[in-house]
Amino acid sequence: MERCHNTASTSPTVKTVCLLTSEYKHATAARMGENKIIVQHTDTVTSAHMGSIFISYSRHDKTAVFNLKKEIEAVVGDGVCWIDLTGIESSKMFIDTIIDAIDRADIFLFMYTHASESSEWTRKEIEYASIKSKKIVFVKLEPIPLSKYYQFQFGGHDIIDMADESQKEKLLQNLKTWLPAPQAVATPDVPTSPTVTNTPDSPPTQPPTTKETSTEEPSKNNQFMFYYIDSTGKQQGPVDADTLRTKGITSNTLVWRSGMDEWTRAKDVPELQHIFMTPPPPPHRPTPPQTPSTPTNQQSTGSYNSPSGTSTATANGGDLPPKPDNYLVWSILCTVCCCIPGGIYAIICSNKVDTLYKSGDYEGAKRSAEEAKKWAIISAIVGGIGSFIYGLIVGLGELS
Amino acid sequence: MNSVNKAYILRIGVAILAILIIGIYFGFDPEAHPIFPKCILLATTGYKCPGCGMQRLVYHLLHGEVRTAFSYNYLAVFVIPWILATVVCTCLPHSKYARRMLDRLTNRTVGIVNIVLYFLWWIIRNIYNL
Repeated sequence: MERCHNTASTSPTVKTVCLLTSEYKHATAARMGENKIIVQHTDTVTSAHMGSIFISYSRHDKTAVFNLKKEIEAVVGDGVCWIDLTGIESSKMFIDTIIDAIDRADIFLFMYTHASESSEWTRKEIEYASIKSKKIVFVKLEPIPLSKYYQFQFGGHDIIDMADESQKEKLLQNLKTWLPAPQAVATPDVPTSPTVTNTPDSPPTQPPTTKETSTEEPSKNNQFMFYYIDSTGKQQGPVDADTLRTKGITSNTLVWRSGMDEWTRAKDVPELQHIFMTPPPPPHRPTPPQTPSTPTNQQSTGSYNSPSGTSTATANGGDLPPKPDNYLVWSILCTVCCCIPGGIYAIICSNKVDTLYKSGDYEGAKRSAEEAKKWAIISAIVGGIGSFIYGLIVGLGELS
Repeated sequence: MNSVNKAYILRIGVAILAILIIGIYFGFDPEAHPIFPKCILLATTGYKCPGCGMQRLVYHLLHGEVRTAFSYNYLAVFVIPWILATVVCTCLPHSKYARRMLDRLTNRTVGIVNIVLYFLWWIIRNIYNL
């Protein structure tokens, strides 16, 4: 797999990793190329130890690989393949996730293409898989000759050429036989989230255990205790509903309490409905968390390179701080009234705020907003006050 | 002073300034009184800027003469309703819909349209002497 190192700043890629563990079956739907990833769980699990397949590929071959994955899953069943959905960043956490995934996998499927041939990461993955003596299957997606490195690695192995339908068919059948037979297991009590790293959009890594919740649940007069995912993606709680509202949660914050099947958006939890009807009590937080036009109030939580919502901050609730005010009105007002092209530059900066925000670059958006503000003020001073003084001089001259 | 107070003071300041400006343009005709801001571009080059006529426009608009008002500056036909809509959306109590509306009103497309119209209007008004 090839990780792209700077996806956060250049494209709206999301850093969500969904680990298809052998215990749980997660349907992961990723809107590829879009900026939101949806991690859904299908029902709690029916079978376990189905084994899994790790697919190693370069993100340049995403389309072809995903098609093949579909075909494989049609034969061996859903939720067997582990695949990096996005191009994982190379932070330690993600490397660990990948190592973990390879560890769990029974079969390591390598997609050989021009792109993966030259990828450093796929090589690392292969080397790790061979150290761990995984069953490595070499799949030629493109009809290109083996490079020296891969001749060295795979000289003795069977090479499956995808151009040949019969070989492909044989691979699919073989995969089925190679995987260990499924065993039934009991349905777990607590929803386990997929192994998720660094994304506020998804449930946390450690679900509350049943033990924990049973002691916590029957608190004062029938109040439920809730766990929630804060804006940095960490699991917090348990707290009661009234405390929860002071924590800056939004309608999209994921919450869980004992008795619920899944982490659920707060707006879908009946016990929390009242939170969104009335504003949170002021002493804890001077401003409501989503105040639109005061971007300066929102800067408290470090860097936000998290995935942005589909179009606006509303789409995504508290996951990303609200879009910084882009000062477009001021920029245009200055441009129109002060006849200074500096205002044009302010408008351009305002536009950049939106573009950057959509790509998930909150810090960049904020910088651009500041730039827009600066230039709006400059053009207001130069244009507005300049023409005012000029008018004053001319006017006074006429009067005298 | 924390940022919340600052933001409130800023808003109140802007509101007072806006009321003051509206008051001045309601009370005084920029054409009749000599002491009003004058366009530097027009004075130095003889070419009108895209904003020329805005003061007279505001004066006539405040006196209900919409047609006369917009004849001073056709760019304002687009800009003024847009600014009003945006200001209203900003002042509305915070809701999902207000926020979404505001996002639509101040998005990238609007910015680009504004820039294009600005330059088009600048050229056209100087050719046809509008």
